[in-house]
Parts: sequence; C-alpha cells; structure tokens
Amino acid sequence: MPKPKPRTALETEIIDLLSKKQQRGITLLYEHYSPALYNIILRIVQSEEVAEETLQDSFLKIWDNFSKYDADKGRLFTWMVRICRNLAIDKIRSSQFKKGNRTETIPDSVYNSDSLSEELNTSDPGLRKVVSKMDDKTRVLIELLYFKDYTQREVSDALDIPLGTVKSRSRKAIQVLRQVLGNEGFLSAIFITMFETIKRYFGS
Amino acid sequence: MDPKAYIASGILEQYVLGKLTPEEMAEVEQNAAQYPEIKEEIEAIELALEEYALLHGQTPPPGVLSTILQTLDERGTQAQLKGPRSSRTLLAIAWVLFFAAALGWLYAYQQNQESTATIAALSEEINTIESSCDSVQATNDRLQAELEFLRNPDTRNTRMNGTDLSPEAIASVFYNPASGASLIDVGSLPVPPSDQQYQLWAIVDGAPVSMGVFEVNTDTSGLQPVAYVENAQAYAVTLEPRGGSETPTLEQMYVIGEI
Repeated sequence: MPKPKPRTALETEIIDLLSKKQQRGITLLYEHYSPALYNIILRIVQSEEVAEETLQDSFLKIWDNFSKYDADKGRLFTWMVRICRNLAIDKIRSSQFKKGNRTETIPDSVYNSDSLSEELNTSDPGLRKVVSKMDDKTRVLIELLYFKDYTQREVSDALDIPLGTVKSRSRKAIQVLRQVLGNEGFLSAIFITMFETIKRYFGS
Repeated sequence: MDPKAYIASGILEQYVLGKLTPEEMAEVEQNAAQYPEIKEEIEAIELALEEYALLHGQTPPPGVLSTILQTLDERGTQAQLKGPRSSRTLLAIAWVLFFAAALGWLYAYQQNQESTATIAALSEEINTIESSCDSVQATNDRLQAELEFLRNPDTRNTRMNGTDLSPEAIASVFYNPASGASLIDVGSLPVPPSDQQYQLWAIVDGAPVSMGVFEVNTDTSGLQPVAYVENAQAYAVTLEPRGGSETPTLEQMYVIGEI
C-alpha cells in the first residue's frame, strides 16, 4: 500500500498565502487545481457555460471561506472538491434539474464503456495508462460516487446492486485505484507536472 | 474499537466521498483524531481520489482566472473605499459624543455655579440672621436684666427734673442698695455735641461724687449702668468735656433730683 504523500511545498505555500488573504494564493491554486475541479463541476452540471460560472463562484467561495479550512481534518483538495460539488449541485437544482432526470442519463455517459474509453482516448497518456489498468466495474463505481456525486442508494439503483454492498464495493474500487496509482501515480504525477509546466510556459 | 475493522468497514471511503451525515462525519473525525492509522487511511483515500481527479483534469476556458482576480480586486477596492468612509463615520460619532459630553459638562458646570451662588447667598443670609439673632438675644438679655433690676423690691427710683438750662428734660436714677447697682434712665435729655458727654453725680454730705459718664444718642438705649454710690442725698447730671471731669461744671447742670 503506498504511503500518503506528504504535503507538497506548493500546497503549503498556497495554504499559507490564502490564510494571509494574498491573491497569489488563488493564482497558484487555479494554475494547479482548476483543470481537476473544472472537470468535476462539468460532469455534474454538463454545460461548459454553467461549469465556467460555477468554477468562478467556487474559487471566490474558497477565497471567502478559507479560514474554515482545517488542515488537520483533511486535504485541501478534498475540501475544495466539496465546495465545487455543492455549488454545482446548487446550480443544477436552481435550473430545475431533477435528480430523477439525472438517473436516466447515466447509461449514455457511464455505462457504455466504449464511450468512456473513447472519451479517455482524448485525454492525456498518463490517465489512459492508469484507467487501462482498472476494470470497468471499478471505473464506473468511482465515476458515479466521485464525479457524479451519487448517493449509495442511487448507485444501488443505477447499477442494480444491493444497497448493503455499495459500501464494501466502493471500498474495493478505491483500493484498486490506490493500487494502480501506487504503481503509476508517481510517474504520472511527474508527467502531469511537466505537462502543466510546458502548457503554462507556452501560455496556453 | 478495533481500528482495522473500522477501516475495513468502508466508512472512511464514504467519509472522503462526502456521503455521510454530519453526525457520522463528526464520529469519523473523532476516531481519526484518536487513531493515527485511521487518519493515515483517510489521507491515503483522499490522495488516491485527488490524483485520479488531477489525471482527469480538463483545462477550463481562458479568462476564468482573470475574472476571479478582477472580482477580488473590485471587492478589495470597495473595501478600501468603505474603510475611510467607516472611519469618517467613526470620527463623526466621536465628535458628536465629544460635543454631547461637552454640553453635558457645561450644563452641569452652570448648575453647579448656580448652586454655589445660592449656597453663598443662603450662608450670608444665615450669618445675617445669626448676628441679628445674637443682637436680639443680647438686647433681650439686657432688657431681662433691666426688668429684673427694676422689679426688684429693693430698687429705688429718683426722678431728676430739668433746670433752667433745659426745663423740658427729665431723667431718673434707679439704685439698689442691696445689690449695689445703679442705672440711669436718660429720659428726655437732649443729644449733646460729639466732643461733650453727660456725667452723673451723687451728692453725698453736700459734696459731688462722680458716678461716671454716659452716652445720649439715638442708638443707645434709655437705661445705662452707672457706678453705685452709697448714702447719696441727691443726683444731678452735668454736661462735661468728653471723658468726664473731676468736679462738676455747675453752669452746665441739666437735671437734678433729691432723694
């Protein structure tokens, strides 16, 4: 089992800057985390326009509420994901997006492993390598629980598995993910960092 | 509690995924604070999902960061604009309070001044009343003593009638051989010039004996104490230079009366 990575110097710097209310903290945060957060928001709201607006709101909320972040209770990223996810859910609720409707849309975006693979082909090679090592069950479960923010009951309904086993299955799925990342995570992390640096360097 | 079983239950995954109720979350956080292995496991789950999410990153449309920073800048400017305004408000409040305090002080000061003046006037009045009371008391004492003296059965009275010099004048001598005291009642003696004084004489065996000088003016009372002389056969009043004389000036005798 891979040991948790200690907080990076960048993360420490961001926390320090944000607690001192320095805008450079937001810039660093954005440069480092906005793609991941944008992806999470986009998967919930399913509209680039709404996702962009939600991302803006999320960063402003992170800025405003940073004093509420407790580093002892969890990682900065987990906390930010919670903010983004809540705002995204608020957005779709306010635009009269019903949870029932969402359930009906699953098969298109998630069930079909071909479409998922296709989608993955467009992503970067690090991700492809990681995802290729995961079985479909694991991938779909993490997709629903993490990116789609399904409740255990919704997962049980959508995948037609007993409610009682959702918890143990999600644990198993994350164990698999941890294993895969344990082998590939370090390399892919380096790769992503290089990739991001090059993108920034060329002013993308 | 067995931390291993707790970890294996899968609750920590639910915790990181945000699927727990606030009560369940609080419980997990409490356990994490107690057992380092639980905290470590939570962090490992967080890290795995974080890395997975970072791998799935999609670059957001350009301009989002600049919009965010612009919003923060605008808010900062507003806060700066608000700053001096609120401090100006504070300053205004401070001034209002200051003036209110100053007015209050002035009012209290004036009240105090008025009270002080009233107290001064009253204490002056009390002094006046006290002194007049004293003088009334003194007069009363004197009158009391005079009345007592006059009512004493041993007190005798000799009336002196006007001479040719002042036929209208009348005066009397009251004397008490038992207590050895004498009073003169100035009666209707005219007020003398200021450089002269009346002197009372007792005639003892044909020779005049001075009983002292006395004042006659508008301020003094009618009865004045004089020296007592035993075995007087007659009394007389002459006008003498101020301070009195050794022997009477007979030409200036105003009243005389035999016992």
